Amino acid sequence: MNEMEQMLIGRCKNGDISAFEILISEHERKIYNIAFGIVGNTEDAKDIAQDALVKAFVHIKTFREESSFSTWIYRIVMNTGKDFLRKGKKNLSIEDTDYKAEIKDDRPGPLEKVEGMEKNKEIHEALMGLKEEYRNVVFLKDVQGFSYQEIAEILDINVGTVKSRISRGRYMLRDLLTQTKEL
Amino acid sequence: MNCEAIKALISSYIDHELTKEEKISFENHIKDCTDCYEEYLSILEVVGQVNSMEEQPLPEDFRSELKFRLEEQVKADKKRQRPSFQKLKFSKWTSIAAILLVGIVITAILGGPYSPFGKSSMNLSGSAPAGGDGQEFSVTRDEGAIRDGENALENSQEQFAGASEGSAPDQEESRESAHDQEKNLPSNMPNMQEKIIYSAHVTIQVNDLDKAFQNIINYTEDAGGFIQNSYTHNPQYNIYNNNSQTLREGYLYLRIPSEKFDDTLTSIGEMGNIIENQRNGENITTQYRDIQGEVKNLEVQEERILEIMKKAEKVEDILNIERELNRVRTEINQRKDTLKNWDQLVDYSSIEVSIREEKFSETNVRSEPFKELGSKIQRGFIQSINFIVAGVAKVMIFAARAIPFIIILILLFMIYRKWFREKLLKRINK
Repeated sequence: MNEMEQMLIGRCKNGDISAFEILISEHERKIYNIAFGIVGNTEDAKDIAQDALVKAFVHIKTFREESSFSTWIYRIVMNTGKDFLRKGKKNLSIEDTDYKAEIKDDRPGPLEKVEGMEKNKEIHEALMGLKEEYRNVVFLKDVQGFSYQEIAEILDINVGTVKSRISRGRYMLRDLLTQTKEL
Repeated sequence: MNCEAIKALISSYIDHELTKEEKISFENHIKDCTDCYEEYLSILEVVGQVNSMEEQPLPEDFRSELKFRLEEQVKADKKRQRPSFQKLKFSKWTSIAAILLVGIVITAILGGPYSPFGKSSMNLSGSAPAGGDGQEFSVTRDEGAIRDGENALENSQEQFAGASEGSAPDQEESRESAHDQEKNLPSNMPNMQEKIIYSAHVTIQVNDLDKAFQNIINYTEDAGGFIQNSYTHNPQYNIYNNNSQTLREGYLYLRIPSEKFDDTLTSIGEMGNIIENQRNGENITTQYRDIQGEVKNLEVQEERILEIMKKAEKVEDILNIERELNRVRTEINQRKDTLKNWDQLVDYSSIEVSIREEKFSETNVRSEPFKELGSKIQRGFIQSINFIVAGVAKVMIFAARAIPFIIILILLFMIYRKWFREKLLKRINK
């Protein structure tokens, strides 16, 4: 929590929209991706991400300076995503996923591009096949790179639970991937 | 460590979340156990694969859409929060404050010592027993009763005590109320009125004797009265008199129309400091009526005697009758004189004024205003405290009576807030 963040948060508490936009600019991508990791398609991910951000803006008055802003916001995103799923708008059917991969410049050749995209789509589908609680921890750890502690804070669970879920989640994922390979 | 335990630690090992001891024992096992080693590798590969997943790009309209939604939210909040939040706070506390304030004002108006409703108005007295035994004065008695309860009581008492004697004791009492009420009634019924002789004796202290003297004379003449007697006394300055005060004195006996009696007394009182003040109201109504009655009787007698004289023939009889007639007539005249005298006394009240001159402002320090200052201050203070105490008591009573209404208001407010909160939550969670 640096000073810049603190100052911006202070402005946001007074209802300054521009300050909020600056504040979240370094987290936007991650937030969107987390949302995407939950639902697997752009439309819903956008909704979830935007819902979460608006909620964050409304509730920023209750944000205490001692906690980490990023964890706080990611938790809101996770919760928004969970609520979204619970409301029955399950868009997890694989046909609907419009998985896009960012195309880096150093990717050689179109063939590998396609291959890379294919691979990513495979993994993404496998992830979507996981149960929600396992998918979340694996996603946060391996896709987003959060620490066990951070994951515990975001999902509001014990570190021990995080450990066991990651372990089992990865096993399940491995099994799913080997299955598709065998097909 | 067995393979099962090791397999459970693979993920933690990959994530560098093992303790030093755990790490060492893990690596030792892995070295030797191919089964576990292969598991480790497959998990490592999965992790690698997931790691290689690229992040999704942010959709192009994400930021603009977000901005739009934030602005909408701010607008909605302003609309919802400001009026309702303020309205909620406003209604509860302001209504309570308003109730208490109104209560205080009302009790202050109705219950304070300075209120017009607090005065005990004893103007209306109970109706005295109408001594209706055929006498023509019963009407007078009733009128008197309505006006002054005391008067009526005395009248009836005298009536029962054989009022025809006509000797009523002097009644020395300040008949302030009687006099006031007499003034209030229309004086177009002279025969029906009470016959009261008002007199007063006032001693005042003035700065300037001559000025006061002249003032009184002027006032008396303006009021339509006259000075019956007057007297002044100027002591010679002598060497035995150390003070430079001249103890001059003056005295006036004035007759003033009875309607102006009170006003005159007040005016005289304002001319200086009142040292002595005595007022009398002698009620001679009964005697007056009695004498009037006697006169009537005698006149009837006179009539009869005249009748008899007409019929008389003998000189001796006529002489006797004339003697009788004279006697009766003398009696009548005597009584009529008495009545006339009384009339004059009643119509013109008498005021005796004794004036003493004191040049106090030059030689004496006027301590008048400070006399009894202590007790005056005390009285005023206590009066204010009493007022506050009474006011507080009344406010407390009023507040207690208002409590049921306040409870109802609070309940309504809480219900409204609950319902409102639910609405707000629904909106946020969409």
